[in-house]
Amino acid sequence: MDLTFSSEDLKFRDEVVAFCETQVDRETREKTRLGHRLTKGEIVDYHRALYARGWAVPNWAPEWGGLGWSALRNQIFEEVAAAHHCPRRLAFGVSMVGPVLQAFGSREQQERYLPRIASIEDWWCQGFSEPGSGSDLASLKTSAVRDGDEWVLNGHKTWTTYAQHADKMFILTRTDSECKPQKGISFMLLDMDTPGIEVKPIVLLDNYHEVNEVFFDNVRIPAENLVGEENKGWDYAKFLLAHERFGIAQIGAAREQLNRLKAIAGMEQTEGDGALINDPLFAQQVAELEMDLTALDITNLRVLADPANQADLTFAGMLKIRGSDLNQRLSRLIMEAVGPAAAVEQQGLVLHGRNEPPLGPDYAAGAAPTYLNMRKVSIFGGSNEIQRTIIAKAMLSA
Amino acid sequence: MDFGLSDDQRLLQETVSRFVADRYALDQRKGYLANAAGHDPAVAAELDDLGLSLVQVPEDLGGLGGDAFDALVVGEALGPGLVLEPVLDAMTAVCALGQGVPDVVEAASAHTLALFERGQRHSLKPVGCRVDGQGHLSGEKTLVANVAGLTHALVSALDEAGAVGLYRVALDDDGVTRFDYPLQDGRPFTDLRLEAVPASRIEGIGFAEIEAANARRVIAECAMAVGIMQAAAEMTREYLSVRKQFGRPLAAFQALQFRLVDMNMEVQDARSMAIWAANQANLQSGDALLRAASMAKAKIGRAATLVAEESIQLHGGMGMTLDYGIGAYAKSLTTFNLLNGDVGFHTARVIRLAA
Repeated sequence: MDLTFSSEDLKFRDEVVAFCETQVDRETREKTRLGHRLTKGEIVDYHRALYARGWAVPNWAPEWGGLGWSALRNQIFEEVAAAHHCPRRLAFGVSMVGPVLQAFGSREQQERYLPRIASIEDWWCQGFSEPGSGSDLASLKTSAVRDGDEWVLNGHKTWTTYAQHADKMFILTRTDSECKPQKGISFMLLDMDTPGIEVKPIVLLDNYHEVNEVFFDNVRIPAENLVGEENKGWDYAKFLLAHERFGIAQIGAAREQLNRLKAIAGMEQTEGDGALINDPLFAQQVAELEMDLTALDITNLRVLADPANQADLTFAGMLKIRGSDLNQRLSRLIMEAVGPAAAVEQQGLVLHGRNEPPLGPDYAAGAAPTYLNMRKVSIFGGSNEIQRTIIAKAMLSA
Repeated sequence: MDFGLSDDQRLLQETVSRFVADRYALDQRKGYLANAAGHDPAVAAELDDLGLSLVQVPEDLGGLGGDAFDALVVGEALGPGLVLEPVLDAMTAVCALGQGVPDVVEAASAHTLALFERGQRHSLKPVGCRVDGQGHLSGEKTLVANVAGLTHALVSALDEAGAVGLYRVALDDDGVTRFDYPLQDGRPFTDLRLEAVPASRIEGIGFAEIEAANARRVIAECAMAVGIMQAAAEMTREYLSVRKQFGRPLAAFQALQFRLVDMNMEVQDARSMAIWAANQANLQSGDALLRAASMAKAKIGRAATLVAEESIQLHGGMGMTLDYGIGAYAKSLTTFNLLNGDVGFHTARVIRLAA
């Protein structure tokens, strides 16, 4: 065994550090550090910086701009970027529809869409979940009926992240309702400005408009927007979800949050023990999180380093469960470290440039909204209950 | 031994529960939050008319002569409404601290408590608020309940000798500046900046009396948290029964059944703790009272976190939305935990004041 980084890896790490420090907007990083929300423009600018550096789509095929980064290299990038408070990379284009198009799309679809994903000329959103089809995604009802050279869409998607910003959507539609639910689903692409699409905001617990409902009323899309074969969409969706392994545990984000927790707990003064970090009860919780993170970091690297582990569904589910739990606990402990000032709903006051000093220290405003927003990570992308079911099936069918 | 309610307590419970049902359905509350004041002054006046602030005031002072069990009944009944007005403050701490001052007792709900300072976390010790030889108070207080109809604040401050005292100040004085904001759970609060504000000292009230009164407030807040948890658990039970996935209700999945059961056990434990703490509030004073309040807040705080997080998780995506009711309960429980001593603060005090 050898758990050290090679000199090439270390050199790469230095390159990522230099990129983060010189090419990523300072104000964007400061907002991310404080847990404030970014504008569409700030998110797009970050992806443009990645594109300019040649790092927009490192995991794609070389033909489409991929770099063949090793799993370890991905991990290094993620950790350094998180440590420098870079925004999260948008997954919908780069990690979701991009790989699907490379594997199953037509040559024309690849040429038309992939370069515009890499350069963030197109912002993609995901049309999977429906009000009645969350964990039970295969029961989805949004239908696409063939009419000449077009598909006609009717239905209702929900939890669509950033649909309000998106130019395109990849969507699962019901194209056959006579067969087993999984067998009658197709994978399609659509322009968000097609007539008949209505986007309605859903405000989440943190008072922020991040997700949407999307309604389709006789939306007509060209027949060539079908990806792969009709009624094979479920297979492509499974491919897509399986492809989204890198970074699922959010180790880099967790490490950054742990450092943040320690910094805040070092500044907050308690009545008895001086800095909060010296309070044995609090310090124990921080230490436990650090131990859990250390173990998960190595588990994650074991998965990344070994293709056999990557194919093992017990590991994928574990990274999702452990990673989401760790990040949720961190967000809760940060909120507790901030203390009573976190009870103030002041995100809006800060963001709307109110001409008053924020209440308490600068790290106070984002703490509770981040905690509340983080509740989603054990729900979305296959809830942790679904992940446990998948792990159990994999373990027991062996 | 008898855990049943007296006739008076049952009447009190019915009165408050009816008010909550009629005036504080979650949708109505949403409307109140949209008002400029952050609540509905007319509804606040109705609540005031229930006379809850007099519940614990001795009969010879014109009150109902109730005890902490009555406060328990009121707190638990208010919980499901997530009532925005600081009625528990008036009922517990304001009345206890102002017992010698008829102007305070007779208009308890017109008084707000200003006991905390920025940067001092959960500490009740005033640091920056001072009173000079002319009886003028200067300094800043944070996390002060701020509803329509308030006329005065009870402010803790240091006198010239460095002793802690409690002072009554008029909020309409020129030296008072407010910086208003909502809490995470929506309740309207404010920070006060006081510049040489005339302040009248409340005789006989020092740090020990402030701590004791605050402990009684904490115990009443615990009862309200129990009421919130009961409502959240019930809403979650209902959702699991109605929501279907994979062709059957979520309630048919054993993994989810077990978590509902665990949540229910937490709520029952929390309720027992609130009852125990109310009994202690009737019997104890000094460190024993503080320790009882801390045991209750720490234990019920842990339950509140579990219920808030699990009820969101069991609601799935619906639990993440601001509009659906479970989020309001979860945010209130989160705010309950952040204010007036969190689980860590109170656990440490339980250890420090070891019986």
